[in-house]
Amino acid sequence: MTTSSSTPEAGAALGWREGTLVLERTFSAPRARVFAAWTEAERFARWFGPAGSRLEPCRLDARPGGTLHYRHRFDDHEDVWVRGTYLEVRPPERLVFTCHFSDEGGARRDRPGFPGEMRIEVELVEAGGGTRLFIRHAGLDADRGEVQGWTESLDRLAAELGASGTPGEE
Amino acid sequence: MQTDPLSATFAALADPTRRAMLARLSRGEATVTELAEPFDISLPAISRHLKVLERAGLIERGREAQWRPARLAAAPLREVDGWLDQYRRHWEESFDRLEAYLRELESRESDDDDVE
Repeated sequence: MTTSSSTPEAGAALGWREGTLVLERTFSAPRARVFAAWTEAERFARWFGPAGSRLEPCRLDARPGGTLHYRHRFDDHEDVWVRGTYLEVRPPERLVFTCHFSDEGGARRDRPGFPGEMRIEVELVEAGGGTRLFIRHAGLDADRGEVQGWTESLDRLAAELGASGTPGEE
Repeated sequence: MQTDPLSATFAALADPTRRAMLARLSRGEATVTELAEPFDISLPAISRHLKVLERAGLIERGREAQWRPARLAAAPLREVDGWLDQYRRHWEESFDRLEAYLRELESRESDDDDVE
């Protein structure tokens, strides 16, 4: 199996463009081990989420069409349920899944100001004896494009202020 | 409760409903009713949100009952990428934990001859 058509280019470190966050990290473990950490429920729950948070419970069925469903518990924050669906599962190199906010029953529960459906693409590339991991986290514009509109607004304000003393038009 | 302007900006933007309202206003003026429409909260609650945004200098009342975004220094707002920062932080901290977990696995299995 050759690399996918969307092999990440070297140096695609960190950035955000049009609602997609792109990140990269290198791990010293081999790909299969990193892939297993994403696709086995017990392992996934050991690391996914910010420090101090935990996934309790975590159900994960890493097959195309399979479900991800977990409750994310925080020390300083109310619980958040998330549900997702695996789209591509290609060990040890590629994993794609969607997810959205949910409830205990697994229904979709959108929240104003938060993203609706998100899509997470994970690519694992061999790097020496280790693994280079790329994530594309898409859908980070809230429902109805609130964040998009907001950043456009900031750009417009910046442009208006660039013309110092000139009243802008609306 | 007058704090320095940047703190007021942060506080005003810390709420997702207010961010959504601000984004709506970036697309044009709106009345309180129009702003309230996507949310399942009362009009008085909407008005309270608007007051917070107004006190932070982010919006102003226009002609008649319309609200619109106000002119103000864009630079501090550009810094307030908090919305995306939380996702970036989520991943960075997750990766830290993943790294620690992988190392733990490696040291536990250091006697095995794993071939992957």
